[in-house]
Amino acid sequence: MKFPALGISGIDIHKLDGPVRAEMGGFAVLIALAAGSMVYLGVTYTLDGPSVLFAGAALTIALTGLVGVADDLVELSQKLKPFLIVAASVPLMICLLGRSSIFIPVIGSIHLALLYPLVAVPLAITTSANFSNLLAGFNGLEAGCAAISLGAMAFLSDATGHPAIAVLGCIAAFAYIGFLILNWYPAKVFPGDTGTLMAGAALAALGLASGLEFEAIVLSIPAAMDFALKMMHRHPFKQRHLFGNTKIRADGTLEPAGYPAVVHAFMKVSPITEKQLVVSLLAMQAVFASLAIGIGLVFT
Amino acid sequence: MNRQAFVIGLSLLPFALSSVAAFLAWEAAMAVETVWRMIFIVLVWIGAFAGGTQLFWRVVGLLTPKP
Repeated sequence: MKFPALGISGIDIHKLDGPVRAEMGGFAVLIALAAGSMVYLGVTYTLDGPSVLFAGAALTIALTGLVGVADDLVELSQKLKPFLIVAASVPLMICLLGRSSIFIPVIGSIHLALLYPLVAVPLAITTSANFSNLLAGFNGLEAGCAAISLGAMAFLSDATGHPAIAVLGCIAAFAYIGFLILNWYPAKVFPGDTGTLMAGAALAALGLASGLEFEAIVLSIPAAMDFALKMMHRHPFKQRHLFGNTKIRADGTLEPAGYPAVVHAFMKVSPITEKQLVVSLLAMQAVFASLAIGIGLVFT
Repeated sequence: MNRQAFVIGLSLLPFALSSVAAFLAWEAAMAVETVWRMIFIVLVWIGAFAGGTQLFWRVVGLLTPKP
């Protein structure tokens, strides 16, 4: 049975003919992540620290994906969703109970005691998951950004002595690359909240598990900027309701809606098509990925 | 395409500003207990990041061709 036949579909509003496409494509990423993680654990499981941490991070990412599935199917309330994501971060919180400090380049290690596992971990997972849900809505954007970010985190995890977490990063990055084939312009499938929430949770989980929290923050900057622009507006998060969506002109270029957002910045400075916009945003994500890799390699 | 590349470069501004501000705040609050010092620099970082993002949007507005 295909998703559109079940009513799990959405209209591609950035095409002139507004085609209906399958939603919740992130479910395929979730299955790939779960299958890949089980194969890895089946091959290497020895109940040692790295394997348990791998399992905890993978479980947190998968549970966040399930929150996304629920959101795609029944549209969870904005108040309930963060609580469910906090609940999803419990496996990683348990695995990181023994950790108490965070490393910030130049400043050094900062001791947070129990605040690290009990506050920093759920806060990071929830914030990152919701951030990646904001900078979205264009063919290939979410999957492309996720593949770049998770690929960078996988590389850094391996370079800083966390091979198990690097494997998890590779599984997640390749799952998004596989999905990108169907999600690239013109998209056949949208990731839905399943794909976007899971991408943010995966970035935070990898950063926390491998002690690369600052590098994960650097990778989240484009989404954080989008959040800040929308938050500082006169009507935070009601802009789409008030100003409508981005429109497409007859020549295929995009017309920005009248409120601040990172995607609108690119549309404002010169006429741009959806495909060019996504390439520009992926280039921006790649710049921050290079910056994160540079910081990670120099300071750790 | 040059303008798109400029926007990408400009997007580094909020991060650069907030990082410098957080480092200066960290150095300035040397006498404070570590956890409070951490909370202080997080607040400074958020404030400087918000300011940098506003500056980013203003510069984008200057680059926007007038109709």
